[in-house]
Amino acid sequence: MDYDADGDEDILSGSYTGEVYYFEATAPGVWKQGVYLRNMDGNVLNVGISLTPEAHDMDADGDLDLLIGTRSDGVFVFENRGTRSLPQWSADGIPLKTSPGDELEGSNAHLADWDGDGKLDIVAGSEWGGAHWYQNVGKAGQFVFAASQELVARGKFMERTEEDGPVGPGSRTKVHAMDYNADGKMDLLVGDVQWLEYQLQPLTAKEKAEKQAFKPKYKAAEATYDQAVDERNSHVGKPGGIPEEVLQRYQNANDVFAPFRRQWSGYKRSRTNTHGWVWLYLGE
Amino acid sequence: MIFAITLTLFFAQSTPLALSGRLKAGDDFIDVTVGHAAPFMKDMNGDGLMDLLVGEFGDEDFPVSRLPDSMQDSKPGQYSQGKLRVYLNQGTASVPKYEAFAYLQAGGEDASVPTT
Repeated sequence: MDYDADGDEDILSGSYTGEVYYFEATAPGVWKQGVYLRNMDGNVLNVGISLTPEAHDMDADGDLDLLIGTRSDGVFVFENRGTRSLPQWSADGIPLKTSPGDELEGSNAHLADWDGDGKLDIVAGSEWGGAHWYQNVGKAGQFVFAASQELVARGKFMERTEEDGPVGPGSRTKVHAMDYNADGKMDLLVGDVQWLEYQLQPLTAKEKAEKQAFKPKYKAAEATYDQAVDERNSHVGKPGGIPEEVLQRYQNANDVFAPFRRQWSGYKRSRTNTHGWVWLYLGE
Repeated sequence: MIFAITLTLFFAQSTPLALSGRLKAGDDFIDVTVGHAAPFMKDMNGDGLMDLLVGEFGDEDFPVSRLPDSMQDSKPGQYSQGKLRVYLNQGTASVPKYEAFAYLQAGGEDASVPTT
């Protein structure tokens, strides 16, 4: 989209860390490296982790607003309080709700006219897989969303091997709706992440003996680490939060335990490969 | 009858979908680096055909200097470079076909955002 109304197409991207990155076009098809957006208070615009943005005039006032899907914190609109050519983002995002009152969910929130009625709906992926959509039942130029409707069912979690292969989209699905094959029907692309297991060669007799000798030292280090974790967790949610000295003790215990953890996991024979595929669903 | 009408108002017909499969580039499934594939389609080269863009998690270190001020004490390697693959459509509008990809370029290098 043209973020600054200067006639060329800019790019917006989300990030895992929660910022929105802006890649400004300096000429058609030429972009500057991404920089994070700030809100009108000068603070970094951030609404959660693992977010995806789309720019659209959500309030019909002639400028672009930001529609942001997050991994597990909902879907938000950041209003543009500036102008079409010089956006100024509101400090707080407005969480979108359906007309029955439920908060929208979507690891990405993608605007598309899914039902072909001339109004943009929201098609969304999910942290837990699958895809769903929120029909826009408002008048032209308005966004009023009906309850969520499933488009792609969430797969049941099961451990699969490289040999098994995948059966469908995994987790943290990101969706894009369009007519993929120019047949006049809406189709859906679903990107994912999923992990497939594979086995290493069995431990040799020498490695088994080494593991057995190491086990008591590992268990002792793990017990000390677990104590520090329990102490830290005992302060979560309490007034004052986690005291600095408790955090430091946890960090020290983690630093001591880390090499033990690494060596112990080296004896495991199963490993996983991380995959990210793009699944095509065609409208029938 | 009234119940059926109410359902129709709030649950409009949407196109049923059928799984076609995973997209390929050449003979191989598109499988992005460290997963977290995020697809998008746009005509990137102005030939009238929609091209495929796919975001990925990535595995190279994200430069700390590009992070917000509050994250400047991050250790090198704490964040990775999430990049964007561009697969140009080498087929047709009705039968898209992809081969090799190139990473989107920005400022003379691969465009990237932080992932962790």
